[in-house]
Amino acid sequence: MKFSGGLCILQRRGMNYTENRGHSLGSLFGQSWKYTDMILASNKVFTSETQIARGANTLSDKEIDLALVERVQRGDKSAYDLLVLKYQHKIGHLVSRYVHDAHESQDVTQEAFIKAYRGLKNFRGDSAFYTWLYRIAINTAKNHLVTMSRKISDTGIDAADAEQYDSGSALRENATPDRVMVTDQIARVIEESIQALPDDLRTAIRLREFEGMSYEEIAQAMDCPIGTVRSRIFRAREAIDNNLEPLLDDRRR
Amino acid sequence: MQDPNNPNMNKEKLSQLMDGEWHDLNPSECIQGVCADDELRGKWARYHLIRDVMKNEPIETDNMLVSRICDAIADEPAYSNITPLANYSDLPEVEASAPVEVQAPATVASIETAGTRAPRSSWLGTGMTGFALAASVAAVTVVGMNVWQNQEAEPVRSLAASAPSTIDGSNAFSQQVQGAPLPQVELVANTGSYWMSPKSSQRVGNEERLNMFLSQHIENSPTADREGLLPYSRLVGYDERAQER
Repeated sequence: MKFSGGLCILQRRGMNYTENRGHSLGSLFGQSWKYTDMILASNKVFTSETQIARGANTLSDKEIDLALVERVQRGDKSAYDLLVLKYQHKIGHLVSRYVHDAHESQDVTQEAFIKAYRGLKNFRGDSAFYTWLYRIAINTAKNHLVTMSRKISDTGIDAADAEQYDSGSALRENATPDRVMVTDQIARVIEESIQALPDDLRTAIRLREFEGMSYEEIAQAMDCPIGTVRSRIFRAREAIDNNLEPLLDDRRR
Repeated sequence: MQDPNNPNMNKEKLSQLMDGEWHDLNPSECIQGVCADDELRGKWARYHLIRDVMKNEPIETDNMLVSRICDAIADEPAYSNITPLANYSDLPEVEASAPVEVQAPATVASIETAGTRAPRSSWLGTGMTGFALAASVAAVTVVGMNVWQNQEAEPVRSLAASAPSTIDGSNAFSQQVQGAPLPQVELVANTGSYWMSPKSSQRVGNEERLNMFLSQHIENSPTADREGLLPYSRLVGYDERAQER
């Protein structure tokens, strides 16, 4: 079965193109996002088998995490730092859903990461590292509330949400004005940076981050070599990062 | 991954690394390179921040948190000699100069096995191990209960058989159970509830209170929980003394 490039992208996610047009991906960046970017990116036709071929030279997020965990278990603590850097936002936000005080929330987040490190000797990789870390964070937060003799706010969030975090909208309801302001600032900088990108870089980074397409798929969609895709995605990230870093540095001061 | 002459190349590899595109990368070397370079670590953090924001995921931007966690982790002992989760060094590695080739379409079966970790143990191994462990615990429990019950029942029977005589050091039971001669004590009758002294009516009140106290202590002691099902076995047991009579 053959699809056109753009239509295949949408069908792969089980979405109906006509019904979801401008709905999901447009929610973050408003009108700036256009599906036509993807659809018109290439008229190249590719088959569903090429997507099945994906996986030979790519690793999922879960597998990257497991590679890092393996390094930690071999004694490389700095690999754990990368996991902390990667998941600090999600875990920090998750804990803040239970522990509303900002300082306590940070302490609990720190405790959760330390507990996870200590428990890595028992981590067997049956689940994704993030799922495992998610459970530890929730238990740590609940234990903290029990210790503090406070009422536990049951959000009804199950660990399964960790695997499909995109659908965990309940986790995003705990927004303080400060948090909203910071998030908006960062999101605005990133959005403006993306808008300022050349078309080829913008399309490449969007296909990668929104659609989760592999380099090979992007190469086919954009009708260019994989090396070019790699370079475009990197240059897009660098351009965004060049605008983001000063903002984060200002906050750090 | 460390190439001091071309920092942009390192960053590009970092970008490639976080996308899981290992075509021409040595994963272990790349991770090591990122871990060892502060600038690349910063890039790693910000690239993931960009990704989270683009995916509309919540972010918690506390700059000091990471440094606090990393400092705390630095104080923790490092792991060693833990069986690896998977042998990622066995991942297909392509030489840097080799061109990237598009893989031929794979079958569903090969997709399921490609890039996944080798099973650590078979079903038979885990199942048999669990069964053996459960059987061992059950066997130890049954044997232990039998031994314990025998040890508890025999002194009662011996004491009941010898009443109202006295226990002296020549008593075979005392030699066997205690391992040393018991001191000569005055035995009191067991009336069913409390030990009553047939001789000294003056001491009856004190001993009754003492026995009551001891009984309550035993019933309420946390060690009573260790008996498990033994109290219930007494309820359905037969009266050995009545049968001996």
